[in-house]
Amino acid sequence: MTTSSSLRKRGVTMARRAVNPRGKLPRRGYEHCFIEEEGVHSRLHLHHFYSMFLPDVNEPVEAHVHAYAADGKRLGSVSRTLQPLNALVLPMTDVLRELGASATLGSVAVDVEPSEAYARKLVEIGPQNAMAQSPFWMGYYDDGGSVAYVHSIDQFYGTVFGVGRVANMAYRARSRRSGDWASKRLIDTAGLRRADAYLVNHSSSAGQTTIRWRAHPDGATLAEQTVTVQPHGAVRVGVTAADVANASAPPARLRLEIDGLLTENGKPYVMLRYGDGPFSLHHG
Amino acid sequence: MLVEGFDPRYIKMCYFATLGELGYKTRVSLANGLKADSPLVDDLHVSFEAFTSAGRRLGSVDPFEIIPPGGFTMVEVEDHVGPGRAIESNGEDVLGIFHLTPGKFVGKPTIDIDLREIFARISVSDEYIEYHSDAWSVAAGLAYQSIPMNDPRFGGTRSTLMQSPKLLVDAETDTNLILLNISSFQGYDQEIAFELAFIAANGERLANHPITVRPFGFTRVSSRDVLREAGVLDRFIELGGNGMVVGFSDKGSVVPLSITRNDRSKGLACDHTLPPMYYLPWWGGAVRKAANQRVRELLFSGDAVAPR
Repeated sequence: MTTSSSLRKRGVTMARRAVNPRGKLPRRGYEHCFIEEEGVHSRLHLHHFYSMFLPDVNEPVEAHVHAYAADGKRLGSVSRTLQPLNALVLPMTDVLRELGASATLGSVAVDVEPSEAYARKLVEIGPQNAMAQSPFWMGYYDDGGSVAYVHSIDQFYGTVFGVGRVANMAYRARSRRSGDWASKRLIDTAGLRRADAYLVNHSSSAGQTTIRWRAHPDGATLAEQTVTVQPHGAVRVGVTAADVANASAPPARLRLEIDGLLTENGKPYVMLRYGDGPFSLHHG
Repeated sequence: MLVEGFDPRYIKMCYFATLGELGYKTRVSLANGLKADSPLVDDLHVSFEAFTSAGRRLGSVDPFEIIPPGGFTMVEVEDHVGPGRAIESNGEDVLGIFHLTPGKFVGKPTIDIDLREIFARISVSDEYIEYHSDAWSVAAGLAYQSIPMNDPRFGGTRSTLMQSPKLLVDAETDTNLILLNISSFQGYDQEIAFELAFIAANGERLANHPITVRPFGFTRVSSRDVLREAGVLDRFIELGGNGMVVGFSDKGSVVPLSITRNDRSKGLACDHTLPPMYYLPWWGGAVRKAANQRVRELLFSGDAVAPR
């Protein structure tokens, strides 16, 4: 570590201690895309992970789920109590029903709030300024037997849970836009019916970028859209079998590019449909 | 940290297990993510080797493709493994390793390399492993970076605590766990004992299932088979058909992958798990050891069907 980065780190540590004198446990949430359109449903895979780290505390925790529509509008929050070692599959339809919302695309962030006993113990055994994070899996499915799940790939930026307003600023992760991004994954076009890229803006400020489906290896553009994604909003940009077939030289493979991710690791979700088969989905 | 005598083929890898037993072929996307302005920029020479599930080396394929900086390729495993191919597996699934060796190291049996350079080369790209079937119109997979593992030259203690809250099992769904025992050390011979606990959505521990994974081998575990053999499949489904599987080993690191399959559509959900530091970024050392010990006492001892 260089002298300047060491000093910077020390400065951050001291600032955080100053704004969090009672030593509360700050928590960062994670955020996923939800899809409730064209027969596709989403579900959150939540679990009481604190009981895996401090098995002797043995108390329930609260999972808070914050939902946003594709245009970034905050839809509200729901909470669920998780007992030790419990896992919960929470359908997005339940969340939306509870919120009286009808969004078909958007994002959902999760913060799992520990009981006071867990928080106290983690602060006690952890390093100075210890934090907790709430990554989770998002599942996707349909009535046709499609099944998919994706781990958290980026945080919910803009808010730190468990501490006050000033400490929030000190503990908040800075969301940095990443540079131009190209998926390292090639997509076979034989039998491909449709490929959709879903991009979430995990940050607290709107961002503009261009999402592009390219033929491989010649690099011809098959579909492209420049989009502005509101904070915590989401967009979809797809390519169809017709787009592939109508290319001047129909390619055997595709790849996906984005002119700058909206956050450091805010890679898109890629949904593929081949023939009459089930969809698959994973991060790009 | 300088790593001496390192086989350069193991700097950047893509390791995986095939899924032929369930009816899928395997293909991988490999990329050279180094940009022209990187001091590490170089061609990557792709070679391959395969092992049985028990870790017996079946054979290898010398470099057969060169990926230039910024380039991509997709390789079908069946082009290298199977009847009439370079490697014969007698129809059995294999643990495969694609090696992406930097051009300047090709042909050198060993090199001395800084650990930071190894990780700098790994971190520029994920590799995507895809299971597919034309007959079922399925193509699904997962991306990860194949880091060097179980290498005594890197020091440190090796253990695995896996928590996978995406255990889906019912009449038409099964979740397969695939555990790989990989090493970047040529003389590696550590068999890993890995214990699994299957926990229903309400926290009831319904079954334990200890396995061993041979060095350079892999094990696939059908959660439905485990629950059925333990006589608790109906109970698991009655409690929601979802839950969590916890895996633990105190002597060795396995790569834990989760593949859920719908029997009707043959659709697949594939992903890796997240290590503890994703939840508690500072987790480690004595705190981690003490907690792991308690988890072991609570989840891997006594009767399996014992709600806490």
